[in-house]
Amino acid sequence: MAIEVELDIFSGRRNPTWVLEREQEAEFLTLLKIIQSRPAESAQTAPKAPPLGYRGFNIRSAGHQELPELLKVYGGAVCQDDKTYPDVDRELEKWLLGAASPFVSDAVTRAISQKLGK
Amino acid sequence: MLEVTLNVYSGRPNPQWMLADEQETSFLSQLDQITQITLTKPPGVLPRLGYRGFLVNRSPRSPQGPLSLLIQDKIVDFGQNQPNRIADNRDLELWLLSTARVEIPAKVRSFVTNELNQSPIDAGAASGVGASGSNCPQCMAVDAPAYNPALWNTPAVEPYNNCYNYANDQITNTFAQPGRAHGVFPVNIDCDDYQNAATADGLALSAGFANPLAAGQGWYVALAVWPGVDFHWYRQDDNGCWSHKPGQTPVTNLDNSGTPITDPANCNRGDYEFCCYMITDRNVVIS
Repeated sequence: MAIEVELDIFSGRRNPTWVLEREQEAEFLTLLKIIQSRPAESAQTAPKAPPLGYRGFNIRSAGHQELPELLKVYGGAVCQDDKTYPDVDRELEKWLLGAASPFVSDAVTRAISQKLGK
Repeated sequence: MLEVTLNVYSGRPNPQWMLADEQETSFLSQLDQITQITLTKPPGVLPRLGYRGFLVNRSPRSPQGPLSLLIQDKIVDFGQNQPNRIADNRDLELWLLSTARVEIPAKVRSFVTNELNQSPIDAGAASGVGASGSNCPQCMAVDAPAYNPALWNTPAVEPYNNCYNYANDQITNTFAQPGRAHGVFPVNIDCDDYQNAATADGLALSAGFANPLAAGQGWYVALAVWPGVDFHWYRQDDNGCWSHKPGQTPVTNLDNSGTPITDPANCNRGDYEFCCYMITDRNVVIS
């Protein structure tokens, strides 16, 4: 089952969206499992993205055994259904930004890197 | 037959169920007892996860006629056809939750129950401005649309319409692009190219938003660009404040600081730079 990543950032233009390659899938799932092993909080505690600009990554995968249909990754947290898992060092976001590089401009990468403290 | 949808999930389909006949009678009776009018909208789909209210719908083919309500944080939003009403408490929401059986998992029911037993979000603060429109500049456009996020923040509309759709108050489901309907395609993502593209669609440049616009003369919108990256549009609503729909995300009247937008030239726009004000109207064609 393909894992689709959407960089949620634009307003007028459509968001960049791509599918992870096989090796990337394995890395992504490994990172995610580490995060999901941490104590979860309620979805209410998830950081709120501002309306304009970088709003995180949406991960979609229909029917994937190890993933919910939608994950939201933003602001040091990973959210699924009514749970939020902390990712204080924003490792998953940084990894996803690296995976995004073929699909987004340097200006976008720089802008997000600044926000992630890279 | 009334269909109830609990807005709580992000990616999965939301729980839905039908009310039994006696439940429908009870619902309508409870609704009739909520009589206080409010101009405040429910928080709608704020940029957050979790509980976002109940949708109650009845088919237009029903003998009783169509019904489409959003009930959240004590507010009953009737859409464009009637003023909203506000209850004294959240009993109606709690009762709606109780009518679901297997449709809602235990954990979700517990989560929503906890939400409903807390103080609701201050609907005035959440919408940015209360009914009186305090701090909003005067709206000089007779045709300015009402601020009604519930119309846009639904699964059938939200993902398919962007800032340009919203500013022009046109749901095309095409993620509209300035100029596309008239064969004009911006080369550069800058103010000039996007202003020209919007002009091709029928929008007109304006120095500000203080001049009166009579019926048929449209309403004020504003263009901003993130140079080389993206564009964005705002619109002034009939309450005088401005609102926007960033891409496929929900409509909001707050800027990036969480502050109500009284002038897009002076609000927190993140990386977007203000370009200009323009005027749009019902004759503008976008795609």
